Amino acid sequence: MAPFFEIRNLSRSFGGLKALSNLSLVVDEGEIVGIAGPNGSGKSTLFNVITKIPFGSSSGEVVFRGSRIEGLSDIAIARMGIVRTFQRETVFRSMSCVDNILVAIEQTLGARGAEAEKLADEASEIVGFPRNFHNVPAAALPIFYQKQLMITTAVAQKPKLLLLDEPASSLIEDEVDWVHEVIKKLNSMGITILLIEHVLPLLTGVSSRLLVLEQGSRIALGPVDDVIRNPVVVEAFLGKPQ
Amino acid sequence: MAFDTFVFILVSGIVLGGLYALMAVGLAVVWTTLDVFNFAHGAFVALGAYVAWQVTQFAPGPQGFVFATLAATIFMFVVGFLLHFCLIKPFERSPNIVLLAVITTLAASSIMESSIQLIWGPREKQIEAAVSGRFEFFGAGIGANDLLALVVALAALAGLALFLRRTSTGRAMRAAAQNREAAELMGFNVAILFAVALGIAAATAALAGAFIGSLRFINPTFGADPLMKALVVVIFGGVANFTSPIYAAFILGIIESFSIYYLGLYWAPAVLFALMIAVLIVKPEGLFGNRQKTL
Ligand SMILES: Nc1ncnc2c1ncn2[C@@H]1O[C@H](COP(=O)(O)OP(=O)(O)OP(=O)(O)O)[C@@H](O)[C@H]1O
Ligand SMILES: [Mg+2]
Repeated sequence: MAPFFEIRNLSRSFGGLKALSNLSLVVDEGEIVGIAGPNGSGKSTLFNVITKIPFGSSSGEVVFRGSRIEGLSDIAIARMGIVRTFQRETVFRSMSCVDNILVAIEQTLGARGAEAEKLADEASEIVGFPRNFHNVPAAALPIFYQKQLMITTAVAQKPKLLLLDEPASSLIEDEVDWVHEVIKKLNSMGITILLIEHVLPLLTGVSSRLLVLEQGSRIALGPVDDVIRNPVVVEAFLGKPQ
Repeated sequence: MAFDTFVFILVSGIVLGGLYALMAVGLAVVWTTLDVFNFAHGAFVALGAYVAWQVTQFAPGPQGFVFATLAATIFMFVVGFLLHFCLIKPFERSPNIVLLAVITTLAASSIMESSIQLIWGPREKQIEAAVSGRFEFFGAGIGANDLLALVVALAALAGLALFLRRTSTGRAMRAAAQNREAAELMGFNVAILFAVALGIAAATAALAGAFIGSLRFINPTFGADPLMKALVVVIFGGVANFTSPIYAAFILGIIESFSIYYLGLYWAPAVLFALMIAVLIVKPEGLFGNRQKTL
């Protein structure tokens, strides 16, 4: 049987810069794969080229549940169930929280009206995003709730494979624990997750395997305990605290 | 002043305010989404009025006016939509986009006015109104057509507000206006959304133009005055909310109406500009503004 998700020799360059080179990875259904690497090592670029949001790869193949998807449009990929969050705050600040969720579902799933509102409500329920924030302008929320809103927006798009780009950045410890719990919960609902994170306790705590990138190339891949003891990884990344 | 005179001036001011609101919201929608000031807005008003006039030549009577107004509105939506790709889109990456847009929209304005002159000639025209006659209202005679203009302007504004709040395209437009980068990141077709914004502005301008043309005489350059008034309204009220320029439009319409009565036609614009400058000095973000602009 074909693996749930696979990338083969994926590359992306910007002029002379190889942001991602010949990366291959196989992900099983239900896994949480953590992705680590120094700044600029190509982690976010990997999410970009998988989802085509905002751009695709220069070469290589992406296979999702047996079919090649690298030729599809960003919306088609999202509708197959591959949804990402963004490292930067991508909330629309003057729009209400529920409008933030709705505008995303309308864009990717093409859902409308009551159906879209139902998806937004369900996602808020799952993530635990307080529904009384729905009519508040997103800018009025503290950063933690804006992060929750970003995750809720992603969950509302019914992901089968969820790509989280630094969901815990700039959060305090208790809030990181909340992110930990929510990732576990989403995973237990059957969502496969790729997680980029600089907060190492979170990354090592939830992931079943770790992928480590450096300058666009894979320098390690395997069970968390093996990878964090790998001398190459220690030197490239863990040795230099971020 | 007699009470009936007061009522008459007040109602005239409110009708004027409704038309100003329609034009100012068109300007504000472009300003908040495309981040440029559209100097072709007055020419949109004029072209819309002439298209409506042309249609009434084939279709006279009240139905003719309704049909003409609809046709002009739709026609101008298409014109506005397409103009985005000629006037704004080619320059959007330029650091001088604001200045370039002033030039391109002024150029478009002058081309449209010249075209009107070529097609329809310089002579003044008036559009046959859908309704005529007067209502007795607290002793003052109010024109039925004035009232219709007010009702239609308010209905159009309410419809536009609903479109922006409740439809997926409206929401996407607000998102793109709010944070273009994030909207692009999420895969929105920002160029189309911006074109729709300019199309909506042109459509509301056409609607206002058709009614102005049924209330007064029009000539190829008559849009300059409504453009100026709409500009004053947008600066006076700010664009913090969809409703900010609408309140401002009614306040200014009423002030204008009273200044015409007390100071005469020639001083009324000076009063408005003086108010605008005062607001710019005291509260530059507009009377109802905070420092952020949104749809
Ligand atoms: N659109 C782009 N144009 C040009 N260069 C880019 C672009 N996007 C990314 N890069 C470059 O590609 C490299 C990888 O960037 P990427 O954002 O994937 O890093 P990252 O691993 O996510 O880093 P961080 O931990 O800081 O988020 C960097 O050198 C970056 O400057
Ligand atoms: Mg990154």
